[in-house]
Amino acid sequence: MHDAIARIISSTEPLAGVLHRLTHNKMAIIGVATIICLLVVAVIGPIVAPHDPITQDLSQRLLGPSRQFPLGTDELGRCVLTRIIYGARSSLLTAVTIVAAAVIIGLFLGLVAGYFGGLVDETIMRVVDIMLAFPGIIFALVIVGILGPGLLNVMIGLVLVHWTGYARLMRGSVLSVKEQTFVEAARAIGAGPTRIMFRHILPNCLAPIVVMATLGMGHIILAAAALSFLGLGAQPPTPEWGAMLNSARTFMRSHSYLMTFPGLAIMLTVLGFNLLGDGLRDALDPHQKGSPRE
Amino acid sequence: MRWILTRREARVNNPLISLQNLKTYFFSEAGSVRAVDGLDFSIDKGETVGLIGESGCGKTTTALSIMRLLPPNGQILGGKIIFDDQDLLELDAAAMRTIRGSKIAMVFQEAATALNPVLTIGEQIAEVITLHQGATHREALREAAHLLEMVGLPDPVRRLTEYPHQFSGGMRQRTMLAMAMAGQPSLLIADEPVAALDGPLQAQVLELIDNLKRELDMTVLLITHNLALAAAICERIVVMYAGEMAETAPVATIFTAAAHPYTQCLLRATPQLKADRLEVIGGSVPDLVSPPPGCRFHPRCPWALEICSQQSPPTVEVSGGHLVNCWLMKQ
Repeated sequence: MHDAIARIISSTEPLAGVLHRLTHNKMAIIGVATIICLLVVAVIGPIVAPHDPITQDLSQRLLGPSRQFPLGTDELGRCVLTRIIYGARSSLLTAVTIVAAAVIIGLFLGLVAGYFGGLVDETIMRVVDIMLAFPGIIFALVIVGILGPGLLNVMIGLVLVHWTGYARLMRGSVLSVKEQTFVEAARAIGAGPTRIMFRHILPNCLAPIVVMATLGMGHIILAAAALSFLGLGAQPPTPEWGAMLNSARTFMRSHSYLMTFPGLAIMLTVLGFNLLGDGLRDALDPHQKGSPRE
Repeated sequence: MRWILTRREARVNNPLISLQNLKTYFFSEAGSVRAVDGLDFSIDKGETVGLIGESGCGKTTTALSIMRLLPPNGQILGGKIIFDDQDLLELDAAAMRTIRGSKIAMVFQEAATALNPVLTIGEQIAEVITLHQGATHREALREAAHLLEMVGLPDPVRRLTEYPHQFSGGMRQRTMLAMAMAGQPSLLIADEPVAALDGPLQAQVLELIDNLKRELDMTVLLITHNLALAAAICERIVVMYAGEMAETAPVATIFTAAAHPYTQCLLRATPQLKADRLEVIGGSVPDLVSPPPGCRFHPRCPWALEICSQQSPPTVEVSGGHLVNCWLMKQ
C-alpha cells in the first residue's frame, strides 16, 4: 500500500500521459461510459421518464414488462422504469455528497496529522483506528439507529464511517511528501505552515485520493442502498433503489422483475465506478503494470 | 594599492553575517552527533566565500543552521549568528520567515526535487514575490518573467506556464536561482548548486551566480566539496573539517600557501593532469558522536604532534585574513 502511494506520488508526469493511458484502457472506458449514461439519465430523467414516480394506480398493479411499462409496475401500480430513473438521481446525489464530505474531512485531518505529527497525529489516528475497528456498515447502522431513519441521517452515518480511509491514505502521502526537498525549499523562501500544507503538500497527495474516492463512490452507493433496503434510508414513497428492493422483497417469487431491475441498476452503477477507479489507479501508477509478461 | 587597502578595511569592519561559536548537534539513538561544533567565521558584504569540506563535515548543517531549517532532530545548542546586526537565533518563527527568501535565499543541490512538481515555474517564482513584496499575482508573474530572462532562459513568458518536468537540469537550476533572486536577498547560500550538473553546465551556472552577485550587489556563501569550483568564483575559502573550521584564507593563499595539514592533503587529493596517481587522505571522517580529543584531524594528520591529541588547537593568524587552527602554526 505504502509503496503504491509513493509510486503514484512520484509519477509526476503530465496529465496528458495519464489521460492517454486511461483512454487506452478498455475497462476504464466501459466504466466511464456507464457513469456518463447514468449522469445523463439522472439529469434529464424527469424529461424522459414515461410516468410519474409517485402517483399510484392500483388498477395497473404488478404488471409485467410491456410497451406501456417497459420494466413493469410495482405493487402500487407505479412504473418501475420511471422509479429507477428517478432513483438514479437520488442515488448519485447521495453518493457524491457523502464521498465529497468524507474526502474533505479525511483530507484535512490526514493533512494535519501527517504534517504536524506528534500528539496531533496520535490523537487523530487513534480515533481513526477506533472507527476502523467496527465493521463499517454496522457502525453506520448504529449511527442511523440513534439519529432515526431518513436519507440525511444515512448520509451523516456513512460520512462518519467513510472519512477514516481518506484520512489514513492522506496521512501516508503527507508523510512521504513532506520529506521532499521542495517542501524544504518552500520553507527556505519563507512560506508558513498553512501555505506549505495547502499549496505545496496537498496537491501532491491528491492522485491516490482521486482513485480511492472513485472506488468509494461504488462502495457508498451500495452501502446507501443497503441501509435503504433495511428501511433506514429513503422513506416511501421516495423512489430509491434500495427502498425499491425492500418493497419488492414480498413479491420476489411471483414477480421477480421487481427485484431484478433495481438490483441491476445498483450493480451497473457500482461496476462503472469500480472499473473507472481501477483504470485511474493503473493510469496514475504506470509501474504497477510492469507484470512479468510485459 | 591604497584603494585595495581601504576596501579591505571597510570589509573587515563590515561583516554581513558572522557565525560565533556555532554548535549544532543532531540527536539520534547512537548519541548526539556534533555536526557543527564551535564554528567561527564571518562573511563581509559583497564577498563570495566558499565553504569547503568532505561529505559529512557539517557544511550543509551550517547552511541549514543559518536558515534555521534544521530537521526536527537537529538543534542549535549554542553560539550566535549575527546577520544585519541581529542574532538570527533569537528571532521568533514569524520574524525568521520574513528573513528567509527575502534577506537570505538558498539554492539547493538537486533542482530536480527542489521544485514543486505540480506548480508551474511561474507560480513558484511568483510565490516568493507575493510573499515578501505584497505584489499582486499579475505583477508577480510579470516580475517572474523578468527574473527568468535575467538567469538566461530563452522565451521566459512561455516558460512561466511550464512545469518543472518539462525543464532540463540546467534550466531547473537556473529557475532555482531566479526563485532565489526573486526576494532580492542580500545573502545567497548556494549548497552544492552545480553538483548535479555536468562539466560545461557547472561553469555556466557558476558564472551566472557570479554575474548575479555583481549585478544585484549580493553576498554569496558557496558550499561545495570541490576546491576547483570554489576557486572559480570565490574570494575567500573556509575549510571545514569534522564540524570545525580548519583554515580560512583568500583563495590565492589557499592554493599557494595553505597552512593547515588538512587543506594541504585536500589540495593533493585533487585530480591533476601531471600526477600519475591521485593521492588520498588516509583514514576516514571521524565519528562525530565521539570525535577524537584535541584536534579532530590528528588521527589522519601526517605531522601530528603529541599535543594535538590532547588539546584543541589554537587559532593562529598567519597573515592578514589567513587564520589557521593548528598546533603546528604555534611553533
